[in-house]
Amino acid sequence: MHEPKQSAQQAISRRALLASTAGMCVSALGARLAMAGPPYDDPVARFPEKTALRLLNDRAPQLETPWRYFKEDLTPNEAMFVRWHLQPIPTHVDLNTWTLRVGGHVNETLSLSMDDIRAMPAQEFVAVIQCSGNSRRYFAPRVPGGQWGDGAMANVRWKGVRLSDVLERAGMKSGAVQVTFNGLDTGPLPATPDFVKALDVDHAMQQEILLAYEMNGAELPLLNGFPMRLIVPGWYATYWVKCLSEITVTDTKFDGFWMAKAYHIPDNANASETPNDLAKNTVPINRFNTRSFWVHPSEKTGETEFANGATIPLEGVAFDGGSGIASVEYSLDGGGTWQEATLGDDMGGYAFRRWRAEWTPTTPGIYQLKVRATSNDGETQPVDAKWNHGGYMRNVIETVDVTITGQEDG
Amino acid sequence: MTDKHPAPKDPSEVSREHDETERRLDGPALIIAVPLLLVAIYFAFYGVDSGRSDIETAQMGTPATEAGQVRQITAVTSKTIELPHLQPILPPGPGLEAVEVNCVVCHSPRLITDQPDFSREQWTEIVHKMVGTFGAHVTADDQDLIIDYLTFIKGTDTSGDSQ
Repeated sequence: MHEPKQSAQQAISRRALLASTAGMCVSALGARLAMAGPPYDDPVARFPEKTALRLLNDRAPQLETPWRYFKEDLTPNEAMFVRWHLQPIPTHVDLNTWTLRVGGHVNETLSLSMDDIRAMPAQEFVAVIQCSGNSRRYFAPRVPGGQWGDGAMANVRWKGVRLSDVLERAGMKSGAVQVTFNGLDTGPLPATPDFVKALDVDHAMQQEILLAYEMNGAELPLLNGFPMRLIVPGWYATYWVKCLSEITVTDTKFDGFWMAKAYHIPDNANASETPNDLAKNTVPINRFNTRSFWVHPSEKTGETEFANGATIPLEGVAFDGGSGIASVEYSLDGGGTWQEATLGDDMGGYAFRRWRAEWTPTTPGIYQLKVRATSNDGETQPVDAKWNHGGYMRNVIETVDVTITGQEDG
Repeated sequence: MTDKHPAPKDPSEVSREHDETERRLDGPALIIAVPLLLVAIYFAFYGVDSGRSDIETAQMGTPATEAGQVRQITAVTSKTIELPHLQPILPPGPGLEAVEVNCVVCHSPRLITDQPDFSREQWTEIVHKMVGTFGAHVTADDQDLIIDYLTFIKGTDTSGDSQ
């Protein structure tokens, strides 16, 4: 008798998550019955090749990864966040006609097909991709822009060819200054600045910069940049141009809007400013700062209440701009005392480093749990959140409030 | 540390424990749950407005034989997606028509409704950015109406006077 009931309820909780807007009334009611889903995940929507993601915007699409996916070491392709700037976005790519054009200040202009690119030596590694505005909704005072929670990031195994191999094939002329990257997205109006990003030549020639045609062993979802996107490990995702179609070597510093004006941060150590005293000097956003998160317990999955005496697994992820994570510490008393967590497998300096510990509370009450990471470069996280008007680079020590109830119910 | 905290848990185990708590249901709730379940399953399998994708693959080279098994090597040759229409309806307010005429051509109304409340000064800055930076053709009169509307539905001014 119990078997069918079990599977029926299981189906509701899982399937309800998959239903999208029109089905949302169904999800909402189903949620009340079975899910206790946190408001953080609402509303959700399904887009092509994607699972149900938190809907920030539908045109141009901005979709956030629900927090439970960070329990997995690699973020599934269908769950990775989506962020486009300008409608219309590419909705059709045919590899019979798609080419990657490499031109500008080079000896030989190239037009490479996907077969040409796949014939070149492939590289593969895990790297975190993170939106510049990840966690923007937590800025106080609030700032304009996509109101991301913490789910505008992903830990992905990327496969592709080295940008340096392609640039060497074209042969950069002496006096090359920057390399620019343009994708298939254009913009709604003739006057709208095309989304083009630039890297300095020295950076572009570094071995870890990849032109990726696979993520986690499969082609990229179109919304994540099929057939190819730029991978700039340790740098914010604004540089990871999607649906890449054009690489241009320049002999001057590129001054397009998306480099000269947008995605700028205060030119100081913390990239911080105050609403009444905005930074006068700014620079293009660049390398990640150090972050660490709670995956369990987490208010973002509704897992914050436990029975006294039960052993609670403490778990999360940490990463930095590429030096790797040296240590992760957690506090069970609001930052009064700190203990070291056990680090999980090292998947590379640019990847998530999972951390774990266990805690068996012996007194009921409300506990403030905190986590902070220290990178191999010696960078750690601030106690107080820094603020800038773009809502970029949040990396404050993360806190989760946990309730320990009176007794363990067997 | 490792001594005190043996056998770190597999993240999938944590996820399963969470599932268990989700599965508790009262008897009467089941009467409501079953029809809902059928609807939910329908939407889960057939989707609702989730857009469509059409992915073409082609066989690449000859099938490779690996450990006695024939492994088909295919590669995606094209992708076509159809984006879902999920635009919200903007709430009524002074200047709504100017917003509908000028703003939603380039972006969803959700770009507005998903924002926090801002001051009139901040909304003015945002509207000017849409015109000056992104090239929106909006008359000066309409810009004022749009700012009125945004301040009305998403303003930090609590006096109730949007002007």
